[in-house]
Amino acid sequence: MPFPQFLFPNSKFPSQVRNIFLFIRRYFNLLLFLFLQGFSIYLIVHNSRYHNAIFGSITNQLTGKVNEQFSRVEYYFQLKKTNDSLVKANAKLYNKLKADFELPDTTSNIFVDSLKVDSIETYRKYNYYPAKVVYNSVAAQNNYLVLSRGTAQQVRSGMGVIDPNGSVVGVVTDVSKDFAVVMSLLHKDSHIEGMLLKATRKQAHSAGMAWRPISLTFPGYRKVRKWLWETASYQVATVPAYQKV
Amino acid sequence: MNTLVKNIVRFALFILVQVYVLDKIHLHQMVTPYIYFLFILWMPFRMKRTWQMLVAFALGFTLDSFHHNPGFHAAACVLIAYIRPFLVNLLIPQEGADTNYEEPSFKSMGGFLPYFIFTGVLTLIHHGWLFLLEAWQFGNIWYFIFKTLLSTAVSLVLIVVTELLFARKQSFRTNTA
Repeated sequence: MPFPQFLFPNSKFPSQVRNIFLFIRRYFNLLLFLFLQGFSIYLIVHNSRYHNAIFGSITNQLTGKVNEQFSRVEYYFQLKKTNDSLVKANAKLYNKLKADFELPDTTSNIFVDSLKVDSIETYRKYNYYPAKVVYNSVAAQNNYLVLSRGTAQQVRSGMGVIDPNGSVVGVVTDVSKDFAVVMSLLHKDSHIEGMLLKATRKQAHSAGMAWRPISLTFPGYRKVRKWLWETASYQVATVPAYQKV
Repeated sequence: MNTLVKNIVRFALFILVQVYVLDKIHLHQMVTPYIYFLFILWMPFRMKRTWQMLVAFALGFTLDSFHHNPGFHAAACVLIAYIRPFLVNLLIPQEGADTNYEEPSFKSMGGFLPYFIFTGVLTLIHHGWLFLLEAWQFGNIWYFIFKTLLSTAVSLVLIVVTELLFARKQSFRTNTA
């Protein structure tokens, strides 16, 4: 590393200061190495839960654009699967049509906020927005999804995400203009509160669930994982306080 | 092709292959195939160490941006970029070979074995540091050791296949030419 000696003639500094400069010059590579390592570890520690606010939306937007291009190609390979899940979702929606019921639909009572004064009208509790998945990982330690829908399309961080079957997918943690990063259930810090609907009448189990993908020594690991999958696939988990996307 | 242009193209290709091909392959919970760091192993001999580390950091940070988990790959890449020149000095066959050839390869390192040691050690260090940082958050020592060893083996196979498929032309450069 060239040292700008002409800027600091030796006579102007006391010897201690000169020694510092000499030290930096001598060990510049080591110091740079330590600095970069420290910066990386700072990023890791600082971002364990939420994505970095400074780089976050910029890198998010950039990687989102690239992801979108590739998901366009990939989308064709999944058309069959997409179609199947759409047929399923459609069937489910048909089953919910009010015109098909002769008696008042009592199942919709679940969604009525009882604190409201007017108990005859129903209120919309959740808004559902469709969004396309442009990136998804399942095998990493911390798994994320990226949706092609951002602040410009009414997505805020903290919203819940469900799949076509109504199962919980995760929570939006970071939003840029056109893309949203979703912390999936398969994330170390993912805590989704769940409730078993069948058991709610008398003994309402309520538990915070956490995904522990690699703790092989964790005693109830298999049980927890099985329960988590069952809960997710039988759509009994509810996401409180979040607006569903 | 100009070295700079060549390396920029490589940078983009390695990142894209890593994100859109290898990250989609789920062999096993224990195995994560990595190849993107071959970019760092292939960096020219005459590149300054400062720049090697900065470029390595950029490479790692780019991959981290795709994974939405900044820091992990950047740290591992900077580490192997820092260690790389020491290994090159240890393994280079004779004095001055690093000025006669442009970048590390079977030919410039003087045979299969030295180059394999070079790649093997750096791959092991990269995976070790990467999974150690991840294991700090999850905390399981045996998982970490097995994952490092198995992933290193798979990555080395990938690297050898890459070297055989995409043979790089290494012309002998002399001062007289």
